[in-house]
Amino acid sequence: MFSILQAGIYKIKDSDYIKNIFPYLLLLPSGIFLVTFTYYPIFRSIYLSLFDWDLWTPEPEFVGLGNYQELLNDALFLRVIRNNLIYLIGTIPIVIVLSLLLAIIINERTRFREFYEAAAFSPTLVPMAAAAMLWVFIYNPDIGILNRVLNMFGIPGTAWINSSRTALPSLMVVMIWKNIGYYMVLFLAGLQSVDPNLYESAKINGANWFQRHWHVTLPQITPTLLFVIIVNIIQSFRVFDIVHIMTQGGPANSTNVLVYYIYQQTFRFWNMGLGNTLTAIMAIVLFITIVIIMRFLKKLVHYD
Amino acid sequence: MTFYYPVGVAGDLAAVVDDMTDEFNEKHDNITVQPVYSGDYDDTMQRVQTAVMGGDPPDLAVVEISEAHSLIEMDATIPLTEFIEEEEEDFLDPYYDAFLANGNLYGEQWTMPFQRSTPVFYYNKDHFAEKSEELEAEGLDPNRAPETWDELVEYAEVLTTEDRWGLIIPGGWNDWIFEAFAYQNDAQLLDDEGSEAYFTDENVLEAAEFWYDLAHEYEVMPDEVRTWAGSPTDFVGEASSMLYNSTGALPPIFDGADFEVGVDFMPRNETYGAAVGGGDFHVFQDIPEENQEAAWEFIKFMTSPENAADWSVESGYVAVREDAYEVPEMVEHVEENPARAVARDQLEYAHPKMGAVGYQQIREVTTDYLDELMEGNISPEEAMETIQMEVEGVLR
Repeated sequence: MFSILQAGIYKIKDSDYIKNIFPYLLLLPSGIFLVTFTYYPIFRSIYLSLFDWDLWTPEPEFVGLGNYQELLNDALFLRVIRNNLIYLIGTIPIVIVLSLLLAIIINERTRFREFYEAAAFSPTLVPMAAAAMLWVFIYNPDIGILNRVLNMFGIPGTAWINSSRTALPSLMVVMIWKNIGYYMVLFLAGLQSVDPNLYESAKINGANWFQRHWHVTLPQITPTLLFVIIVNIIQSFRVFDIVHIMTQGGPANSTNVLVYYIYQQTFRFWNMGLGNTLTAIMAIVLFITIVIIMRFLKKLVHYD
Repeated sequence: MTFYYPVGVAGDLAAVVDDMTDEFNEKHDNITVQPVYSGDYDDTMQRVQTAVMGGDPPDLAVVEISEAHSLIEMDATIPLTEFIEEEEEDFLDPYYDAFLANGNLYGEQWTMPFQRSTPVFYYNKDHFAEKSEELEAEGLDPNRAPETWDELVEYAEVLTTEDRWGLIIPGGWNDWIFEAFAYQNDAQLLDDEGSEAYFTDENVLEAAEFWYDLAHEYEVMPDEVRTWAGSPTDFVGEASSMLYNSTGALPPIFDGADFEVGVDFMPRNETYGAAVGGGDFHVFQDIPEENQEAAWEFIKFMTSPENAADWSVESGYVAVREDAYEVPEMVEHVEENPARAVARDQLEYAHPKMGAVGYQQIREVTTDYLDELMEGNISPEEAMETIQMEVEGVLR
């Protein structure tokens, strides 16, 4: 059965015309999804961001860039952006360094390698909602296990997600814990493409462990690194579920981030105009950021 | 007919709603109600709004009571006055006025009460007994709850120890608890029409100062805000001796606690006071007339004395009508659990909950700045002035 199918496909592929459109046919299904659920909504958001549209204005009214102006004067919007940047700057370097380090260490092991891989990857397998609920209990200031353990060692606990001073870093820790395993697997895959002979010659030339990885591993895995950085940036702009479950943006907006703010404006306050403006801003900023990073990092990438 | 309903409190209430709907469907050959569980109150409101905007409204939904203004503004719902007038003249009499008031807007009755509550005051009787000597030394009775704000502070000061708080006022719905404090101090946060805000009134400011002092002067309450849903667990875990929460927390607290739980009125200052809470039935526009009539049948069924009693027993909510408390099942239940009668009796001092068009925005800014206040990041004056300014912006 399978071979008949294969034969059929090869037959189809043989005709020149079909040969040319064949790849596009394969791309078509995901193309349709991309256009309907990604590109169309993005452009519609940008279009709708030019309209006033809320509970009091059920029919959209054209206001030009009025919504953008309103946001620039909105202290909460600036706070949300600041929270997002803190989140981004605070998580990305740590996630990348730790996951790369883990990948290198595991890659150098031969015994129990699968065990270490599975152990580091396991948080990724836990559904985000379940992990978030778990951490809500861990962080509970009065009866949570974290403060209890700290108290056992004589360290006074703190209020973690219940205090506006510590809530955002507490969420960042959860996301770092949750994401490291995933990026570690990506790095592990990248490491397989590094030629072992390079390490040998580096060793012979007297390079120590750190030098070997700095001068050999890093340049060799820049494509993976580039990918991980971009995915990380996108993910940290998109962070939502953990906020929704653990803090609902609080206390006092200390964990309110861009997507959560979009959700609040659009679905809680029913301010479609502002919600779409925020969405448009996010899409445009992300697009520009990624283009810049691609250009910058491409110069460093060694594709062989 | 589709029926959206939220579950605002912990517990397996979805199963109870399903059972009640099944019973209704069996009794009515020509009506089939399809219950759709729609998350918490916020989720439900979003679903309803999205469905209305998409031109495919549910026939019937239970929505948080402060949303009535917004739904009317959206032209989403119909008034129920006509249906009520077709019933017997004394149809509304058994329903508690305090529960009907939130749906009574612009001269019509827009909603019917279903799952209704007030905040109540929970206390750990074992902690009170443990500290009885110290309480008595202060001239306080260890066998009852504090009755006034001043007593609340005195009790809390004795009960606060190194590893537990005297009192927790949780966040999340602290706007609702704060509204109760305003009423207790003879003040109101919004007028009944939802057109004017009074956050900077002297009596409201006093309530805000009292909250600030509980955390920062007397230090009997944590200065980081505890979550609404987590606070019953904190109380059951003996992290605090006293707690403000909804009657909806009765079942999880009584089921979970290893100690004797006391429930009483929230302490008064000028007077006892509370704002009612919970969800009401709304019937929607742009659906066939017979569906609206069927929805009304279903509302009558769900709020009949027997079903109101049954629902109250299962959920911890206050039954929406007086005669539900005469149903044998309910009489027995209240006898066994006198705590269940507290919220009902507190209704005498209850007021409608604040509501306005754009209520979600009002609620968000109120909880945000109450959080800031409880953390001590801003002064009570600054908090109330900011809320007042922002709310006025929403009210236009």
